[in-house]
Amino acid sequence: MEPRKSIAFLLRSTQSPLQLISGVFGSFVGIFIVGLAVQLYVEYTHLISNQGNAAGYQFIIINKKVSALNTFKQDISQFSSEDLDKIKGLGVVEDIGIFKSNQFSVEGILQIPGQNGGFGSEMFFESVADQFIDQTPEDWDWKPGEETVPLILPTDFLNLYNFNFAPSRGLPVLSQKTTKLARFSIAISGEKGQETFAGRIAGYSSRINSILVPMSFMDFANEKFTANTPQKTGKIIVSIKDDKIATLYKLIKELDWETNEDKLRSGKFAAILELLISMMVLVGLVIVAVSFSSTILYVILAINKSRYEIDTLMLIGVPRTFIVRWYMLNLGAINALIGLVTWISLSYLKSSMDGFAAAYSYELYDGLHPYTYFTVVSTLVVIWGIQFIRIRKLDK
Amino acid sequence: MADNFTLRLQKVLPFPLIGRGQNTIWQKDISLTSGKNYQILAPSGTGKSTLIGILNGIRKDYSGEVFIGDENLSKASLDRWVEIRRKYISTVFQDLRLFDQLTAGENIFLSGGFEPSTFSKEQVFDWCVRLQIEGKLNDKMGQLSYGQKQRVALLRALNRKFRWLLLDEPFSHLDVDNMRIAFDLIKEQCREQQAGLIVTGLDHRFNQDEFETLEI
Repeated sequence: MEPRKSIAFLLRSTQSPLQLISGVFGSFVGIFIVGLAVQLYVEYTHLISNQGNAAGYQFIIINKKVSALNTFKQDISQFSSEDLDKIKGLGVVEDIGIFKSNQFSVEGILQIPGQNGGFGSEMFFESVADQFIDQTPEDWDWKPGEETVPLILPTDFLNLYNFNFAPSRGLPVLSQKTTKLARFSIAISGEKGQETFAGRIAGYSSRINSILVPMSFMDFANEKFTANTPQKTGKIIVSIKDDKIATLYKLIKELDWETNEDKLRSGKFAAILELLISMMVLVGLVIVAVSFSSTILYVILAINKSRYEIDTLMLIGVPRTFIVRWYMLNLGAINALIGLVTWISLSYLKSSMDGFAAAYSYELYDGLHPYTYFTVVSTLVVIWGIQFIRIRKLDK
Repeated sequence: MADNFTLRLQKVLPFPLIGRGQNTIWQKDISLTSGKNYQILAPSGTGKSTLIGILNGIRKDYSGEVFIGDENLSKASLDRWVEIRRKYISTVFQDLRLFDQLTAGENIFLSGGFEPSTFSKEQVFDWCVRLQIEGKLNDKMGQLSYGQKQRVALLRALNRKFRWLLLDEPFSHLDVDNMRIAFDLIKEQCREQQAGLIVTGLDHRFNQDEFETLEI
């Protein structure tokens, strides 16, 4: 063998594969976790900030509390323009929608095809701007002169019917599609007259717990059948980003209003998720610190196992820099390999995450983020630097 | 440093020998001239290997100063010491410090890898023939006798340019004939390179005309 090859052979001969593997595994775990934490944070902010995706937004319905004190004073349960200004003034709300309700009376009679009889009931309608409805049905519009009025029912209504009412009466359960075939009669009466319309179920909403009609119908009917009383605002809906909910919630508590708590809870979930990710970054950092020290220990061990070889080589005049360069080149190759394995593992995990998210119709960031690459590469470079600092003197 | 490779010991005293030696080379001013042969004679445990270690930069636990030419070696860095070993001071260690993982041939040629090769392979092989280990060059060190290992260590030290050759009890396992052959080769090379020779040993074996004897 050439002298230089002999030296490489000597330095390699004292290394144990098991120690190398555990050293490599130690750094791999640390770097993988750091990379994963960065990518997860990217995915999280991507989900939160993605404007076109409802996942980042919450719709919160707010009304004033009805207490014994204000039972008979309807005005107190209405939102004033000052109230709305307070909400806008927070600067966290994207949009505010005002619910309009009927000022006429409604009676609806539901006929189910193939069934005798049906439900007849006093009803109430509400309307809200279309952008607040979770899924606007295709045929969701109404023009004066049309006899059939489309309705959106709360999903809960159908659930109540299917899981509570129908079994107890021996009635068949109904799918959303079936109910869309049903026709109502809607009898409307007010101070200025009465008229009967046909009603059909255009869709269901799980967001708004009320029977919705198109705004055009509400305005038309309030105008046509009732004396001109000013429209009051008893209920509003706001759209707000997940991470801003806490601010709004504070105001709601402060003013003693009411809201749908479960939405706030999902906002809390987002906060908890953020906390968990931060925790993971923290835990990741601890693991990285451990993995850094395992890397350094590996290097110290590697040098000390070759102590005799290194000392003797320097005794016969082999330059220290030659030995250090040999170690650094080999550690560089090992670090590059760790980087490659980390990249493959992260890509694989990312593609499973994409598949998982797609099943729930969430859209994740396209591929690994540059931050993730940057973090992994710079961590490896830092590790290589630490290894160099530790190795360069070849001392004990 | 040009042409002056004189080794000077100024009041050198290894810490472990404090209070022990009188009338020795320690704590004196001693000059060793490159080109001359010196024999260090002393019983075991009085500091022969310590002196070799000090002249090699292995041992730093002493007071006083050591110079090669004008350079104060007591203050030399590790890198400088490695350079001095590579260019000026070649050593055969008492424990030989060979590599068992390598063959005899690989051990011999190991030290030649960093200076422009000064000796041809044929030249070195010729020395191997003279020392009668040419048949062992492809054997791992473990298969060699101690006497053969001593010759491999000697050849590794010779396969380099040097101004000083330090031999720490180099012939303990050689018979008289082999010792004569090895010694001839050593003297020949030292002469050719105008190098000084320092040999340690337990008793008087060398020709007094050829060696200046230093007693510890």
